[in-house]
Amino acid sequence: MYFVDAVLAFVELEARRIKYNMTEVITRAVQPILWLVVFGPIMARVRALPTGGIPYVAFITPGVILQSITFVFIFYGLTIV
Amino acid sequence: MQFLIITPIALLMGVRIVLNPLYIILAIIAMAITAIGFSAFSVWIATFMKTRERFMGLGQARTMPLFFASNSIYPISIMPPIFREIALGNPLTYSIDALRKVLIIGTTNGLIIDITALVIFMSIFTVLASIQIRRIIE
Repeated sequence: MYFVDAVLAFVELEARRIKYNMTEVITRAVQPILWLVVFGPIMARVRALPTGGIPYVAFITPGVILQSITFVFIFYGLTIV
Repeated sequence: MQFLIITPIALLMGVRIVLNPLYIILAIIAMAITAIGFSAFSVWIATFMKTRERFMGLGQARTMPLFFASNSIYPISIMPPIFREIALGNPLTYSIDALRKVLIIGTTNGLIIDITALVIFMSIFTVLASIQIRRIIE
């Protein structure tokens, strides 16, 4: 169970860091909100992209979720540099 | 040896519009696999770096191509042919496809291909990162 302990330690580290510094939550949320609120409706008005029958904002939602996840995690190696 | 955080995902999830609550568990699994894969990738890159500045600079050079060479804001079918090939080798494409199927359209057709690709990506970089970390510690 050494592995589970190690993973839980990192989860706890991350949870404590967020609890201590709530601004991080807001700064992480700003960019995806802008994508969904500004970019999505504007590009939906153009109607240039074949999205296969789904609304454009719904089409980009998975992309925006994963983009924000990726941007957080791609810098995660910073802790060991 | 992989370092992962699941907590920010939940926070990131809460902000979004969710149209189909039935498939949320599948979506969270797909997101967790992606997150583990990218953090392993990041750790693997970080083991080669000597300074923080170099890592940050390279971070920007990695995120933007990954994002724009995927099917996040436009379908792959309207891309130029060269970029289509690049997008098919991009792990983000598969996770976005999986999430789009599960959350927006609400089907599980072809989901197995996406998940398989993500698991392969995750295991490759986890193994690479573990090997590299062990070498650096020694």
